[in-house]
Amino acid sequence: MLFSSTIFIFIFLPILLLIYYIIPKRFLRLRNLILLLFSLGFYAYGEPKFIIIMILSIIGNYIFGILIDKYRNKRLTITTGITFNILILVIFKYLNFIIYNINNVFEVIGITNFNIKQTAIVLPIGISFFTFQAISYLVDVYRRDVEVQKNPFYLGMYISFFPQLIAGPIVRYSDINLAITNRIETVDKFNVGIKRFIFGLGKKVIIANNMALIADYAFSSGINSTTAMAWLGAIAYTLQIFFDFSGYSDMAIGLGKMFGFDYHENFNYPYISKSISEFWRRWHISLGSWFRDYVYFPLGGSRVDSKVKLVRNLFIVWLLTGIWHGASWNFIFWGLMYFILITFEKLSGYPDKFKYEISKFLYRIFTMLSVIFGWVVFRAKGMTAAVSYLKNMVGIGTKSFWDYSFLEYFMENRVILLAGILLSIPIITYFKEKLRIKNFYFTKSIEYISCGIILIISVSYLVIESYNPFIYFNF
Amino acid sequence: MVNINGGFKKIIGEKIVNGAILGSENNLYLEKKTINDLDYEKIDKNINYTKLILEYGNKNGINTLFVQEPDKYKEEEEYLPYNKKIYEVDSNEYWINKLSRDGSNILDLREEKYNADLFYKTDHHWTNEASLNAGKAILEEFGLESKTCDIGNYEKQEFQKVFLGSLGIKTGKYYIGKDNFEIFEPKFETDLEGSFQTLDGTIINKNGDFKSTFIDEEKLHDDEYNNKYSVFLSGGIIENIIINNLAENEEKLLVISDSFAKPMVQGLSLSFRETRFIDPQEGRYNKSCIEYIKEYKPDYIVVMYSRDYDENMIDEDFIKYENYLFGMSE
Repeated sequence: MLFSSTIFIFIFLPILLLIYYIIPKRFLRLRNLILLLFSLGFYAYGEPKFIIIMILSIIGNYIFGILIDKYRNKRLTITTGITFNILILVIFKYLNFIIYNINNVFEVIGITNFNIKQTAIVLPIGISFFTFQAISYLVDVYRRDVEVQKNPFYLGMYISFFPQLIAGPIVRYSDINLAITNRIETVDKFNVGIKRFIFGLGKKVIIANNMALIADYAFSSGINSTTAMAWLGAIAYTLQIFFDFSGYSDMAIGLGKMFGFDYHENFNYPYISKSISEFWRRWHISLGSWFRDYVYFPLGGSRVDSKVKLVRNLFIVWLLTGIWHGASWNFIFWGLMYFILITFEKLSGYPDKFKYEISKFLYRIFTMLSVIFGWVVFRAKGMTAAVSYLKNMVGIGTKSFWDYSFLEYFMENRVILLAGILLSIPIITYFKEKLRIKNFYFTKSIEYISCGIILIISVSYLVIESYNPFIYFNF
Repeated sequence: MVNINGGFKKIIGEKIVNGAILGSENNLYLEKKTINDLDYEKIDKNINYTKLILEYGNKNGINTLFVQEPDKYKEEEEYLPYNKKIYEVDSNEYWINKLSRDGSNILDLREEKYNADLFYKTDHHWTNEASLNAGKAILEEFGLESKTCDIGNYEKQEFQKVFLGSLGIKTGKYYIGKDNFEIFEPKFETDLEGSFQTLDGTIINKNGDFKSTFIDEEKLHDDEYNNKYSVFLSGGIIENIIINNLAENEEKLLVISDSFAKPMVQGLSLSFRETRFIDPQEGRYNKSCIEYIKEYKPDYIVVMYSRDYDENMIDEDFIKYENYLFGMSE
């Protein structure tokens, strides 16, 4: 089930809110049980058989949490717990990729009569998110950052809670453990949650889905592509992935607020970044901080005694970041691209070392171009397609500079393209702050009217159009 | 929600909306027509079956005529944005060329002189006025008196902004608004009996004058009902039988066509004792047309197809065609 679907907006959510708030606040356990059951139902809706994996994860991590807390001096328990989660991930997400590459290696070294058969295992939705959440819980218990959760239902609620289940943000147990047993739901918070949800819905349905139409066409054009279409497709995908993912995060944060939970922000206008390092402090913040806290820092981070170790640590983090995003070489190359760029920034000190504003400005453009080219690698179906697309962007392998298809896709989507570009920068925040100084009620009215309009238009898109892809569902 | 969606897309300047394309002069066209999916093997089969009907008619002394409907989609492409091409225009030419090469009697209503090239902005159908002009052209082609289809002998009743056609329902009413819709009623006396079979198989029997027999007044005056084109023939489409009690002859007309014939047979029926109209598209009249002719024994046959029709004719009919091909000597 998607947040951006009529069944979620008009059936699942209203029923859940009704049941949840009918239960008196003093029966918090019952409320939590309802959230758990609805979360499991939410997950089971798309593919009922995946619920077994979810339940397995909950039971396994519950047991490991208890064991880690009991046998704190034994590293075996934490290692086994982490391995348990990694194993789930490897089996369901990476096994076929591993098999494929082993078979390739055998073929290259001349062993042609040995071929491991690919499995029929299907990727469970959100597995990368909830396994990482589970790992963070176990490590935090081990580090004594949090108390172990002895109520399996509460732990189950943390791991499976539907707002963040399928596409993040990756919520730390420490961020919500208190809220599980003692949270405050207020009308104001609820209103903020609704507004956040609606804005997220608009980002996803109105902007991301329309950009997807351009990107899908551009990336499937092949030899019929033009240079202009290649650039339009790359820019469209850059906007699509941002509004798709940040929109979903907005909806998750908004939903959390409706039930009294406060999640951290997952995006902070990443496309205004002045450097690659800054980009990764603004993009998918929960993932970046997860790798920082659970991989980079344990390896020593940047406080190591040699540059070799620093580079090693960065390599591991960015290799894993690439792998986390998908079982395909282009994701790995995408991750390693950022390894190279970030290593350069860390070792050189640029762009902070630039003396002149023009240099900083040019580096900013370089950053944005790197991000866009990176998204091309991310989006393409394999490295060959990625290289071919990148060549198209510089005029190699295209039939012409532009054609009527480019004109059609550009003109049909020019308003949404412009809106996407403008909304990628904190322009609304700027105007909101300006207006708030002058007239509080006016800004509030604008907010509510905007919410209403965005909701109606978004629902009209959902009702009309069956095209509603969600990129980060593959993770 | 369709209306809101279409209204929003109008505001942001989209010209391709939910499967419809906004062309010049605020006309809507079907986006699907810009895809080259013509199946010439199937088209050839349909042309052959059409020829069979025409040959059978001619062989049995029936005046037969193939009528090429006017086409909202023209050969020149400037009326569509982004240099889009309409492929079925090629199909129409293909039909005409093949049929005329084999000596079939053809009336091409695409010619400007027939003034049948009038279309609704939000629909794929021609206007009521165009259909009357077409009826007049057909009668003249048959060498018959055409006053029953002369627009000068009709009173026009126009309804403002009431018709949201097959393309308009894709974009919603806020995209380009609704079409005006007109009903033509003869100034002369009429007395008719009609049996109209609707799409769900229901047979509606009506009698009286022209308007009370042919026009579904309930739908015509219903503000919530958008598809005003279906008020013609009281909603009938599959098999429609019209008896003209004031006919000056005892002749019978058979029209084998699609929904373009709905308003057209209303006027034509005033020149014949009995008029029947069958729509052989899939899910409509799907028995053998040849058998129908054999049983009905019309004096005149009009075969009129549109670009969609040629891809909808069912194979079952064609199997019978192959049987007749070998039985043509009977």
